[in-house]
Amino acid sequence: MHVKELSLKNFRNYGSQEIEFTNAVNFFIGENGTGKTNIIEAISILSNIRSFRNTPDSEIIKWGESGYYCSLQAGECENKKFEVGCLYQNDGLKKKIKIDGREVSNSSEYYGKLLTVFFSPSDISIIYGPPEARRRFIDSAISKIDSGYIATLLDFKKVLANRNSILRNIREKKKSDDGQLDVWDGLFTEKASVIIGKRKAFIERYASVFTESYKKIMTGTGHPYIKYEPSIESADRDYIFNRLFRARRSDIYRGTTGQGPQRDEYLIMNENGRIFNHFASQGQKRIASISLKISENEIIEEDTGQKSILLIDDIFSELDEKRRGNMIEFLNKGNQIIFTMVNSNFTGLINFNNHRNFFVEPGGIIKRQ
Amino acid sequence: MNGKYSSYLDNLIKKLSSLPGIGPKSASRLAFHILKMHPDEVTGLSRAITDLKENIRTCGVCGGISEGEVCGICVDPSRDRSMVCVVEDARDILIIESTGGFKGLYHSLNGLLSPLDGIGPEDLSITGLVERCRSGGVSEIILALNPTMEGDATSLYLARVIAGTGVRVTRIAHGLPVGADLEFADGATIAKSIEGRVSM
Ligand SMILES: Nc1ncnc2c1ncn2[C@@H]1O[C@H](COP(=O)(O)OP(=O)(O)OP(=O)(O)O)[C@@H](O)[C@H]1O
Ligand SMILES: [Mg+2]
Ligand SMILES: [Zn+2]
Repeated sequence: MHVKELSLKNFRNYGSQEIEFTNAVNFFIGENGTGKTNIIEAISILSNIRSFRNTPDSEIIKWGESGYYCSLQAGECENKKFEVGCLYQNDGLKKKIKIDGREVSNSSEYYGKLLTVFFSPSDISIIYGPPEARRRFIDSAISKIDSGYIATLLDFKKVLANRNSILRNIREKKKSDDGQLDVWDGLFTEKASVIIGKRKAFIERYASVFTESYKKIMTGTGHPYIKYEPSIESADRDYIFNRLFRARRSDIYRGTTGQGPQRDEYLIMNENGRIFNHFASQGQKRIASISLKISENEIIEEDTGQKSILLIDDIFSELDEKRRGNMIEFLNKGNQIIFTMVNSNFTGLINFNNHRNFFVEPGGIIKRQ
Repeated sequence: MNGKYSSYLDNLIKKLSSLPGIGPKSASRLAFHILKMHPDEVTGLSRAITDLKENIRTCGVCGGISEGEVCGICVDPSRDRSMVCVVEDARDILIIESTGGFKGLYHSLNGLLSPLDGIGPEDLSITGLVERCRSGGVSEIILALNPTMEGDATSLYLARVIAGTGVRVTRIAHGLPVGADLEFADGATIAKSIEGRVSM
């Protein structure tokens, strides 16, 4: 699918703006702070309702205005028009979402209709961040191809919180409560088994796609791989229940559950079996983070049979010219791509055919070239 | 609005908006509506509220609502006394009764296990339920708790506790979509899910 036309009203630094895209490669080039990322933010709000910047809607409204509105016309997509509007009314900020002119009240109806993947400079924290950053990334990837996964994950979190509560209670009151622990351990086992099984199956598919993507952009030899290291190694229910049962005493002592999917790790290793992040250069980390996203998208496209819109925000600075070229060549598989970059990074990309350039100038002015 | 327009009005709006599901906006709409109503109607409304509170209490047997010591369902000789349907609270009894699909008796737990909220077995009416199982005459306990994690945990807990009494334990299953609340299911679905209950 692709964006044909984007229309913005009082959105961030834009008063009123219409942009016509090509369904191939679009470059937004301009100085710092001119509003390049804001364009991508608008498209991602139209796709996910919420901003990737995690800011409240009140901050997206152009200063001094009482609301914002953005809409886009989509091509090669089951739905033609997406609209999101936010307006201050007497009892607060009201948000309205429409698909093809019909108002959508349940946000789950909206998700997955306009497929976008967002590449951001901060993606690199998936590589060097805490285990939780990788768990969150992989969980979100799985939930995009498996609609039941999120529900299981939420159930699991609830069970875990309740189990921890019982553990602390036992510790404080110094009175055992096997009756309740047995029950919550049973539920823990049931949910954990599903999660571990799905994570295993996903990484089995994902790992090879990831290494392949990295290889294509980096070229040469020596490529990282991703490895799932579950805290409880098996999805077998008896095994999980026994692990929990044996750890009861130490769990009570610590007041928290020491094993289970909440402690799973995804390790990114280099060709020598060492932690990639400890040895990789800045550019290599950047390429690995891009590869994580590209591979996620590849699997989603394989399962949905749809081509996503790639929103790529300013991730070129650490890459040399050769890798930039490799990356664009690799990404250029018929998806619509929307790039933002500062002027200096643009040199060397200009030769790409079938692209459209937009020069973004201070004051929310966009000039198409 | 600055200051007090009317302290009587303010007071009623405040009281109404303390009710679940009623915000300040609907509260003021209701208050103005009451203001326009005929005085007799207003008296009738306020009497209905106090009457409810003065005359209704908890049934000593099932924990449902009752006008006497024991509720109408518990004393009704035409009900099947061998089946007891366990629910989260008295409101669920009303919901299941309105379907007309169940002819046994009820037991309200008055909550669900929720360690996070500090609710343990001793906070629920579980001993009463076990006593009813032990006292004879009951051959089946049907668990009709909502399919949340707390509901599931409570069902599993009860199944273990009741197992000691020898009474059969089943749980409603069929027809209720996963994640659906009893409150939102239609009567036919609830009736079918009681019919299609499974052993625990
Ligand atoms: N609610 C708003 N109203 C008006 N202007 C805003 C609002 N929110 C952000 N801005 C302005 O938008 C600009 C930032 O836009 P954006 O993040 O798109 O810049 P950019 O072109 O991506 O810059 P960089 O190259 O530094 O990443 C800032 O100048 C900021 O002052
Ligand atoms: Mg930017
Ligand atoms: Zn009763």
